[in-house]
Amino acid sequence: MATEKKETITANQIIWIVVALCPVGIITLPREINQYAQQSGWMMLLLTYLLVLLFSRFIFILAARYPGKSIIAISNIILGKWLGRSVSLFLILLLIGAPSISVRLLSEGVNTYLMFHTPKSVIILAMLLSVMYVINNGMGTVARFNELVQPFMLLVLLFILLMTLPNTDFSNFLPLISNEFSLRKAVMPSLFPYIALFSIPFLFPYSAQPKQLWRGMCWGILIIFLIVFLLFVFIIALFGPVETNYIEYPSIDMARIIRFAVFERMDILFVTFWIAIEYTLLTILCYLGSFALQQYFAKGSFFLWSLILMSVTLVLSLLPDDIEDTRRLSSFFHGISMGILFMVFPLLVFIDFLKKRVNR
Amino acid sequence: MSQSVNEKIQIIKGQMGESSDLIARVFQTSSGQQGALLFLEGLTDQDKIDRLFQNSVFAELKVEITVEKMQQKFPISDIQLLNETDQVLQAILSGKTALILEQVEGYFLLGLQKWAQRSPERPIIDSTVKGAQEGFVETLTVNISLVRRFLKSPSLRVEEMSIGKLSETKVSLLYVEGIARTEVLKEVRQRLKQIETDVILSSSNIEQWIEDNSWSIFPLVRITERPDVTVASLVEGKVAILTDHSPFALVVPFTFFDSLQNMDDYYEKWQVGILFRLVRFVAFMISFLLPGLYVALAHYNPGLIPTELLLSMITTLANVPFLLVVELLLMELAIEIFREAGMRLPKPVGQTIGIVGGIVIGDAAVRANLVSPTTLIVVALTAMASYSAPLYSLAHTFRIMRFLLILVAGVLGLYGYFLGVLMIIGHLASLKSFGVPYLSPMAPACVADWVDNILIFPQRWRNRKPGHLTQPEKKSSRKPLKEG
Repeated sequence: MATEKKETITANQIIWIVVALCPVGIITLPREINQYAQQSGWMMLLLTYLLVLLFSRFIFILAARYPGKSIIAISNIILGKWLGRSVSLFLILLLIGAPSISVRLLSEGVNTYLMFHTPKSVIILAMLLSVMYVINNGMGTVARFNELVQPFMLLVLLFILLMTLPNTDFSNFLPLISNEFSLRKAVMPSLFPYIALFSIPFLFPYSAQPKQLWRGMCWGILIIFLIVFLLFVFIIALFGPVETNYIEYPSIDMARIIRFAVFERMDILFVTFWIAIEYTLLTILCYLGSFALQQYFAKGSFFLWSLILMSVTLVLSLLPDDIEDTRRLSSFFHGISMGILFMVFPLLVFIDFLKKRVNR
Repeated sequence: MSQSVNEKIQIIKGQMGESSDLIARVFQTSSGQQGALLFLEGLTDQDKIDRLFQNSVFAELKVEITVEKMQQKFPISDIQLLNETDQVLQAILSGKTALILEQVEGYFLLGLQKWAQRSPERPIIDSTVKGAQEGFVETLTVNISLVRRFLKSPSLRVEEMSIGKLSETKVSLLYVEGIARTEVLKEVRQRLKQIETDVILSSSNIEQWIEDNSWSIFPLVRITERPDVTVASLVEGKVAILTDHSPFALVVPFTFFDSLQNMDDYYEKWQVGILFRLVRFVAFMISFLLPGLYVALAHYNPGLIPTELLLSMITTLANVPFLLVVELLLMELAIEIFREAGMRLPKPVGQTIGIVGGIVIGDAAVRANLVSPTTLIVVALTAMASYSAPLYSLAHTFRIMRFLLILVAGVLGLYGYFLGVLMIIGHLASLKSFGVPYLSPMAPACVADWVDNILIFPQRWRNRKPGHLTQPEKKSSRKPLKEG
């Protein structure tokens, strides 16, 4: 199995790659958290951030124990050939499914805000072709692309948030603990920003030092948390917990109230931010998906596998009937993804630990 | 004349096909030995040869003559003795004079080259306000001397090689030992050696041979006609390639942010330099982003345009019979035609054409409702902005990018436009120039290098050399200099 390094990425690039794994669903996330936690949702976000950070440590442990090896090779070593390959295949299938749902959600938003009559297939195909060009230039390109684009996107978000500051009312957060706060129901939406973290182990062969990977992951997860946290806080401060429940895309509506110089529709700035989020996410997921397929089958060129992946993604993304159907799929996918983060990776570490003890 | 001298002349003449500009001047020394001078007319200093004959220098040549004795006798520093006819022929073609003596087996080659050459003049495409007003010329030795005059350091290295099977063009590699990265140097040498062509006419020929990605329209090699730019680049750790017969130096590695720099940024106070660079960056954004954005907004999402502006635009756009994309592309095409015509015509006529094209035809087109005033403003502003790029070849890149973005915006509106922009950024991220990522020092990020590459800080803060170009330096050298 090929585990050789193609091109190493820096700690800084790892940070922005992890940030790029933040899904497009964060646009609607404040509403979803608000439904079950109202103004107390920020506490849930903080809690889930700490939980994710804790469990991400298992990813680092795997990287540290098997430096330079991909998750496909690691699971083969730990679980044996058949079980290892089954787990790898499952992870690869998730890597194929994630972009499909994500790009479909984007196409719904683009249809709502920008291209009202354009078929979804055209929107998705344009996005996938464009992403395919970038990923076929290699991991170095993907890393540098994100390193350049992500900080800029963050600045755009901060600019939008700052512009809304005069309209905010932070008394909306009182009382701090809402009466309708449901920890059990609010936990899943709060974990949503970390839905794509399961793909990090596929980055192992590109990270020269596991410690760098861990540092990059910590900073990346922190930035994701801050993005979602600030979005939630500002939306609740702007609209209040009651009104937020009735807004389809609260983040975009937040941008709509801004007036800056002659520009009247700042919400479009947010939509472009949304397109950029999707684009960066797809560059990572599609690159890692194609690379994982190439590694798994140990034959064929990267281009061939990326072409196969893009074709499958296109077909899968067009399968859901409507946005509600896509959201249901997204929730199902979210559950599986969290299962991997909280169960599969710790289990791999635990089995590896046991095997080593038995061998000793 | 002895058989051997005649034979040698015939061999050379035969190899050059009895070329009419190959001159043979036969003479006899006082000791009775016969000899001849062979040289190409127009490449040799014939006045000097005449003076040597007048002073009987050739007549006094002894039978046992060596290079050392020749150097004592002749007022010429460059004298060598060669035996191989091919080498002698090559030297004659380079302007050297071959001295054939009956009693000497080989050929003495005298460095008596001279040809018509231009003196350093004000650079045409690389002009500055406060910088040195002399540019490179077509003579390699003069160009090297121009660099040496700026950089009186023994660390400045000059490596010479010949490229082109027929032209044998001299190419010099200039770098500062201890600063330039060895891996970059190695790569440059290797790429130059790999060039397989008959003729090198200009530096641009070499540029196309050595650039990393010939499919990319972004310049991956800096081309400059300024010695001060070349020296500033050498000191930063870059490598310069000078070509004989070309008034341009190639500088590598070249990054995207280098293309936003101009020497005037450094000749002014740093605050002014920042302003210059900021204006240039805004102009760069306008030149390739504005027309596409205009199409996307006006054609697909007019609701995003401020109401007052939209109302005034609608009235003018409604009278134009073409689709906005077609209208814009036609106007861009018109600008290209004016530009091309202005370049090919003599300068005073070219300026007139520009005025006639820009004002008269533009005004007539608006009056005839062939184009809306807004479109005209967008196209004119874009054209002006594209020429603010300090690098001439980057202006061409902007134009092509602009056309692409207009097309994608015309097909997929704002969505396609943003995908196009992201794809261009992806393309930029994929580029490398001699191993250095094109987006350095932004991606991969090196914040310390932003001081000079993106921003401009006071001179004393700029003593650090770019980390992505130079050999690692000591930490102590990174401290800013004390206020002087």
